[in-house]
Formats: sequence, C-alpha cells, structure tokens
Amino acid sequence: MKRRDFVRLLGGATVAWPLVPRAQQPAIPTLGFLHAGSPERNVDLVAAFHQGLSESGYVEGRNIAIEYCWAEDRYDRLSALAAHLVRRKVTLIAATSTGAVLAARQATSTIPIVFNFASDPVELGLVASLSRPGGNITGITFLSGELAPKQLELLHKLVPTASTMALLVNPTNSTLAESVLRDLQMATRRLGLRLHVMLASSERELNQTFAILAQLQPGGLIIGADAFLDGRIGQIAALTVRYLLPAIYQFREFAAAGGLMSYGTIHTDPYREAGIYAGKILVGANPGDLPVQQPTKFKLVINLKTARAFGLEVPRPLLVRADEVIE
Amino acid sequence: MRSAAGRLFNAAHAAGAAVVRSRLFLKYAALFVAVVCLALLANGLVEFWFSYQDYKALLVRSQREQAVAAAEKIGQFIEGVKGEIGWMTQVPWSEYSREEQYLDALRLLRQVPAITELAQLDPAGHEHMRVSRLVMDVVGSGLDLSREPKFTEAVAHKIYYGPAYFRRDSEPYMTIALAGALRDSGVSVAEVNLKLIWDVVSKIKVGKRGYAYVVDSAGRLIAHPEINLVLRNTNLSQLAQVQTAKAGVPEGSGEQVLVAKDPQGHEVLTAYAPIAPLGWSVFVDLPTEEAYAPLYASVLRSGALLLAGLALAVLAGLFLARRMVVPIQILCEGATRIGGGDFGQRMSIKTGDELEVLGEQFNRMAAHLQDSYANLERKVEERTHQLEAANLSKSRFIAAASHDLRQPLQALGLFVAQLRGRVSAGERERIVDRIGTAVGETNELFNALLGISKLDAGVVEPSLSDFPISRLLQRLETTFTGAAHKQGLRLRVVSSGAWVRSDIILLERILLNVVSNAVRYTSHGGVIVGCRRRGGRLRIEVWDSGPGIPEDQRQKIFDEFYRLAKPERNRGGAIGLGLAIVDRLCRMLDHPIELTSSLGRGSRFTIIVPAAVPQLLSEVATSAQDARDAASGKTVVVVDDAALVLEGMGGLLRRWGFRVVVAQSYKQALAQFGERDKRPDLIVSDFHLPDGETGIEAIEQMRDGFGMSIPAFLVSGDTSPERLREAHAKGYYLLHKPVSPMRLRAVLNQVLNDHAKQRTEEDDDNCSIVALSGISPSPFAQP
Repeated sequence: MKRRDFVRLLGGATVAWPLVPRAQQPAIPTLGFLHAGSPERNVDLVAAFHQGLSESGYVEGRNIAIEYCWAEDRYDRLSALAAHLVRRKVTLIAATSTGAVLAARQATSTIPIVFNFASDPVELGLVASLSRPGGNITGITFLSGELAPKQLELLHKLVPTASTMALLVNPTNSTLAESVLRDLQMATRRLGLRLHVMLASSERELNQTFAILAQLQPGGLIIGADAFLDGRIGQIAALTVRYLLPAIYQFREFAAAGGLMSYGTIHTDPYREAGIYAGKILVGANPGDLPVQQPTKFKLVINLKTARAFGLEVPRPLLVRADEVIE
Repeated sequence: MRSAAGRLFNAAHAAGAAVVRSRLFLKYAALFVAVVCLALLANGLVEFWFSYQDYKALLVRSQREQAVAAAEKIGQFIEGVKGEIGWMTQVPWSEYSREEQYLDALRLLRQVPAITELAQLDPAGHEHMRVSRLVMDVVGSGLDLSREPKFTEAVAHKIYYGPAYFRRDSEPYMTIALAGALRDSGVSVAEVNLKLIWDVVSKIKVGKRGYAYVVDSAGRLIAHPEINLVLRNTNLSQLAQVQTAKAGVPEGSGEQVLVAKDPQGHEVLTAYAPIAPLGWSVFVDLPTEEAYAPLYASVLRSGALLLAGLALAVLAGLFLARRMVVPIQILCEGATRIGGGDFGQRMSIKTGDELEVLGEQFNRMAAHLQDSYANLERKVEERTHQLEAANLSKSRFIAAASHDLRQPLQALGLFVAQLRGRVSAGERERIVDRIGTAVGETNELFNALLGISKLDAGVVEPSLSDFPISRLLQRLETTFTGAAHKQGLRLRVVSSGAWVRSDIILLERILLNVVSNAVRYTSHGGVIVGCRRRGGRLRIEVWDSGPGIPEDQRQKIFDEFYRLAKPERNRGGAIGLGLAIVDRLCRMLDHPIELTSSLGRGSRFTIIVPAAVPQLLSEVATSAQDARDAASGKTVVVVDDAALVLEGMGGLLRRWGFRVVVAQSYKQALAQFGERDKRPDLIVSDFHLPDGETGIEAIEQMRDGFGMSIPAFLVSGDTSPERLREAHAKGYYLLHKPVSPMRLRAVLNQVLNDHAKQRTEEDDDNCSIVALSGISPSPFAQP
C-alpha cells in the first residue's frame, strides 16, 4: 500500500467516523389536523400545510403521522372532533378557522395547538400577547377581520355612489362574525353608509341570501372571512356575477373566479406558516415562546372584465393601487 | 547425566538471558520510538499551531466581510426605501396637486412593500393625507404634527430615521421622514415594516448554520432569520458583542470578531459591521462548533496521521530493536551454554557486521575450549588409571610386607614357647641366638620398609659430594668377605682409583644391596665387583655366577617383595625389598642401572655413576661414629607418654653415662628442671604426646622455656611419611620405634656433635640456626 493511499484511507476513516447512523426513533408522532371545511375543497391548503411541515423537517408517513378531522362545514361537530383528537393523544393539533381553534382550545390546555385563522387571538383571549403567547397556543392570524374596513373602503372607491352595503357572514362562526360586524359598522358609519348583514351557514342559506340580496340591491357586498365561505369562493363569485353585485373578498381566487375584486393575503401562505410552526413545536419549541405571526403582504386584485360587465368605471387611484388587474 | 545438568543450567541461564534481552529490547525500542514520536509530535504541533492561526485569521476576515456585506445590503435596502420616498418630495408643495400626491403615495405603496403607511405633511407640519395597507386611508385630516420629531428632524436634516418600534408589541417598524430639497417641499413620513429586512438577513448565509442579524442602537433585535425572535421584541443589549459594537471599536482592530453567546445562548464566533446612518449593527454569528469544525477535522486527521506515524514508529522500533537484540541474544545464549559446559555449541549470526564477527570469535573460542577439555579428560583418565595401578601395587606391597613380618614373629613365638619349657643351658643359648636372628630379621625388614617409605615420601635428599670409589669398595669387601666364605664363594673386589660424584651413603646402600643379593643368590662360583671408566662415567659392575634372571622377570625383580623362585635354598634374610630400594635410589640419584643376565651362567648389575676429578685426600673425620663420645656429664630429657619406654630408655642412657630426666609431658619436664635449676643438653621426645600435643611442640616449648636452642630428636611408632616430612621440615631426626640401642647411640652422638659444630660455627661467623634444616640425616642405620 502506498503511503498516499494509506493517508487517504485514514482521512476517510476520520471523516466517516462521525457519520455513524443514529438509531431510528422508536415511534413517530401523530399530528391532529382539525378543519371546519371538507378535504375536497381545501386540497391546495393542505398541500401548503405539508410544505410548511417539510420545511421544518417533517414529512407525512415518514417521520410524522397526520390524523385529519374535517367538520364538513358543520361547525357544531368541531368540539367532538377536537375531543376525539385529544383522546387519541395526538402530539399537536393544527386547527384552522376560528371555530376549530376555539373547539381545540376547549378540548385541551396541554396539547400544543397551532392555529391558522382570521381572528385576533389577543381579543379572543387565546394568547397573552402576539409577541409572547405564553400558553399552549400559537399560530398565524391573517387579520381578515381587521381588514374588513379596508375592504369596504376599496369597494366604496369603485361604487362611490352607493348608499348601502351588505356584509355576508357565517353565523355559526359567531366570534369572527361579530368582530367583523363591529369593525364594519364603525367604518360604514364613517363613510355615511347603511349596512345589511346577511347570514349563511349552508349552501341552501347561501342561495336564499343571494336571492334576498337581489331584492335589496345593496351598492356592494363584503364577504366575511369564514372557512365555509372560503370553500365556496367559485360559487359565491358566480352568484355575485349573476346578481350583478359588486363584491370584495379577501382572497385572489375570488377575483380570478369572476368576482369584482379581492384584497388580503395569499390564501395558502398562512397554511404554510402553520406547517412550519407545527414542525418547530414538534422539534421541541415551546408554543408559548413562538410569537403569533401576521401577514405582511396584502394584494389588491381587480377583475376589469367584471367591472365592465357591471358598467363600473375603475377610478385611477384604484388602478394605481392594484397589484393585479384581470382583463 | 552431564547433559541433563547442562540443560537445567542452560534453562536457568536462558531465563536470566530472556530478562536481560527484554530490557535491552525495550531500551532500544523505547529510544527509537521516543525519538520518532518526539519528531512527529513536534512537527504535528507546529503544523497545527500555524494552521490554527491561519484558519482563525481566515475566519475573522471572512466573517467580517460577511458582516460588512450584510450591512451594505441593509443600508441599500433603507437607501432604496429612502430613494423611493424621495420622489414624493421633489415637487414643491404649492405645485403638487393633492390628487397627484395621492396617486404617487399609492404607487409608492405598491412599489415598496415594506412601507405600510405613508403620510404627507405640508411645509407647516400639517398632515394632508395618509394611505395605509391595513386601515382606511385618511385625506385632509389637517393633523398638526409640526412639533413631532419626524417633522422637525426631517426639516432640519432633510432625513429622519426614527427609532425602531414594535407595532402591537411585535412587528418591528421604523419611521423614515424625508423633506424635499426645496424649502416648501413638505415632508413624507413612511412607516417601514422592518420585518422585510428579514428577506435580506435570511438570505445571508454564513457557513451551514451561521446567520446574520440586525440590532438597533438601543440593542433591540430588528432582524433575525429566526423571525420569532424579532416578533418577540427581543432586547440584546446585554450581549457582549452588542456592547462591544455600541462601544464602537474602531474598524480593523481585530477586536471585531470575538467568541460570545448568541441570542439563544450558544457559543458563536461573531463579527459585526455598523449600518452607518441608522446607528444599527449587523452581526454575523457562526457557531464555534461549525467555525472550528474544519479545524477539528484537521486536528483529527493530523491526530490520526500522528497515531499512524506513532504506530509505524513503534513497529519500526520493535523491528530494529529486534534486529539489534536477536543476534545479541543468540550470543548471550551461546555464551551461557558454553559457560554451562556445552562446548559443542555454535552460533549462527548472519548480520554481516561486527556482531557476526563476534559470533565467529565465540565459535572459535568454543572450539578451542572443546579441544582442551577433551585433552584434559584424556589426561584425567590416564592419571586415574595410574593412581588405580599405584593403589593396587600399594595393597600388594602391604600384603607382602605383613606376610614377611609374620614369619619372624611366628618363629619368635615358637622360640619363646620353647624357652618356657624346660631347656638345657646349651639349648637355651641356641634358642636365644635364634631369637636374636629373628629380631634382627624383623628389624631389617622394618628398616627396609622405612627406607622405601622415606624414599616414597621424598624426604630423602641426596647430598652430593666427590669422593674416591675405593672407600666404598673397601667397605663392601669387609662387609661381605665373611658371608661369602661361609657360602663357599669367592668374593673379589677390584680396587679403583677413580673418584665419583654421588651421595656416598646412598651409593653405599645401593652397592650393599646389589652385592648382598649377588652373594645371597649365588650358590657356587663367586662374585666380582669392579669399575670401568667410560667417558665421563664410571660403571660399577657386580658380577655373579648365580642362576641368572629370566628375560621376562628382569623388570619385576625391581618390584617390592619380588623374589626369584629358589626353592632348593633357604633364602635366609631375603626380604625382597633390596632391589626395589636400589631402583628407587638410582632413580633419585640419576644413576642408571643395567642388568645383563644369562640363565644358568650368572648376572651382571651395572650402576653408572658420574665420574669426578680426583682430589688430594685430607685428614677428615671419616664419620660420626669416629667422633668423640660426648655423653659424659650431659643431661638428657626423655619425654614419652609410655612409662615402659621411659624406663627402658632412661636405663639405657644412664648406663651410657648420661644424666637422665624422664617426663610424660614437657610441662612435667620443665617442672623438674625448675626445681633443679639446670638445663638439659638433649631432648628426646615421642612424636605423639597426650592431649594431642606433638613432640615438635614439646621440644619447642622446652626450648622457649629454657630460652635456648637445645639439640633434640624425635622417636615415633608412626611411620607415615607425613610425620617424617613434618620432622624434617623442622630439622629434627625422627627415629622409628623400635629403635636399636646402636642406632640410638649413633643418632645421639651425631645430634650432639652437630650441635657442638654448629655452635662453633656460630661462634665463628654468627651463622644462623638455618643450618639445622640443612642436615642430611642418614636414612639407614646399620643394624
């Protein structure tokens, strides 16, 4: 053996030493995924959540098992589902939508909960503060509730002559609905507008609501954040077009589906962030130390086609402001 | 037997050798390993030190560069924001329509995602408009902000960077206010979300796990890849590196990289760079673990190499030591075996150096030893055979002597028995004569035995002198003429005027024996003694007309107690020792003896003696016998433990005219003289005295006691040569019991005369007593 080969061999041995494989972990943790909607309407969002998990080093089936609990838009089932997950002794609950978070919170105060919703968690008493949640709960809020006045303002720029506005909320998602309603009532008062509040927690009610709206003929419609409504964006967009209702919604998908405009965060972003947070907690982070995250990117999307179809002229400031214009 | 013992011996020594071998081996191996290891270690350490320094310098530089680059990027980010806002303030307030302003503000929001809110103040400090991403826009509020720093500072310095603050206690924000270059150009106030610096910071990659973060002048964390830390509004003013940065260590001083704890409490190698206009600092942290990982890897590698080197050194050391020690071990074992008596041992060392030469020398030495040893063994064997033969002849000699002694004793016993009976006066006389003859024979036999004993003991020293041979021839004639006539033989001694060099007494003894034999064994005819001169020698020849000696017995006749068969005649007095004595004496005097003989016609014995130059004969006292009788008036002390001897010898000496003191020990003797106040003139002591004392001691004690040298001689029944030798060593005569009165008388006279002569010499020339040891006593007394 030549000296060089020998040295190389030694070098190899030295480097290889620390690379001795570690023992496999005996059992993989189980994550409970609690959602108010149904899986078929949320495929993209679940994918975003998986992506976030994988960014933290977890891949379903390999080093994490996920138990999915879908309420199928029946918010009254959330409590039972949350209790089921607690009974299953899952390592962590990822809860989406305000109702689901509250249900999970009710079911356990020890299992870490990562939320992903539109409400203000401080206001709901879920966390002590955004920077230091303190308990077993943390997550992402996409501030949809707070954004409602801004959405009203933007919509009003497009229909400046309107004197009444309508708000569509899901009454079963009462907490969020109430908060949105409160903010919006203040905003409409400032702008000197009247506000109709429309309620829908099922597809039948949704259709009925639009029938009523057709009769009420409000100047514009603001659609509140809600998992049930989120799952039916295409359907709602079609309804607003059918009834010629200028409407604004938080997600771009609404404008893309023919709705007039959207303002808010990117729909999948909070899911991804929630996945990352879940991963961090699984690794060992204390949820009480992880601050509640808020979105930083807001997008204004205007569907000019729809505007033209409604006979609306989009004022210049709105066009300037728009991040995207769909022709 | 010897080989088994040798093996044991070798095994024991081999064990010892093994211990030594391992010591030497260890010594060599340890020395070699130590030298190589030291070199390797020193080299490794020096190399490690330099690479450590180089690597640290490199780390310092690289991290510092990272920090500077990060600071630049963040500076650019802020500058970018500032530049974008700058568009809002380029147009004078009076010429800037509110509508344009609003649109510009909206554009700005769209272009700069970091700006969450933008307010436009008129030159007087009143808010005219505020657009926001989160809340409803406000137009024409007229809010008076003229006293706010964001306005006053911006007007004063054209730019104002507000302190970082946290919205809802979590989102980091900063106010940037910008005043236009023109006097009435109003002020734009932007609320910048610093979370977007995260984009910048998180893209800074330092190694694998290193990262950059930004801290404001108050020590609060503004940007960190781990955004949670920022959102938690973390204050880092307690960190060492933050304090160092705050203290403002000058650039390039090398102090900018240090090992400290990061916000999570891990140890990191940290460097920082200031973001000048903001008073912030960018820190670049690299976990020391990672920073030094390549160094550790290199140390491990070096360590492994070192270990390998050491292992090789040890192997090489062992190998070399073995090469060195194995030949030495072979030498050692070989030497041990040779030392243990295994001379057949040969070593095989093929090292081609001095050790091989040494091995060969050892082999040669062993070969020599083997030869000498074999020689020695042969000699020992020969000697053993000789000794055995000598022992055997001694036994034969003793057997013969005792047989010959028994004969006269037997005869004596018979005669004594006859005397006890009634015998006539004539008969008694005849018997007493016979007894006298038997006693004489016994005496003769004892004397002969004593002579042989003396000769064998080597105590007889020849005293050579030149003398005329005629003196001996005359004596032979007088001695044997009577005996020859009795046997009807003719004895003719041819006289000669030659002189010879020999011991007169010993030569006389030789001739007496030879002639006596000739006379004894010749029944008719005669015996002739004559001399012939041959060169420098004189041949003294003794012819007889006896039966002759058979060829095969010519050597044996010189053995002790050998007698030729002669049944027809009474051998009368032949004891068979004569020729044995002759043989010994001739050898001692170096006088060759020749024998020619023909059976039935006779024999001739020839003694060859060196001739001497004839001298004038002076009137010398012929012998001790002629000296004056010195007994009259002398005192003799006789010491003997046997009362009978004391009585006999005392009576005899008194009859000769001596005064005699007898004692059983020297103390007794001294005591008797103490009373009488007289000194003895002669001491006669038995050799063996009571209480283990010897006669020699007794004589010396008495000499000391009287304080003078007193003539003395010893008498002993012990005929062993040792006694004789001891006595001679001290210069004393030793007479063997039984001592004949005549012999006693002769010795007495000689000792007294010698003493008198010695005293005369002492008087003459102060000669010392040493002369005593020079006395050559006559070993044979005439019966």
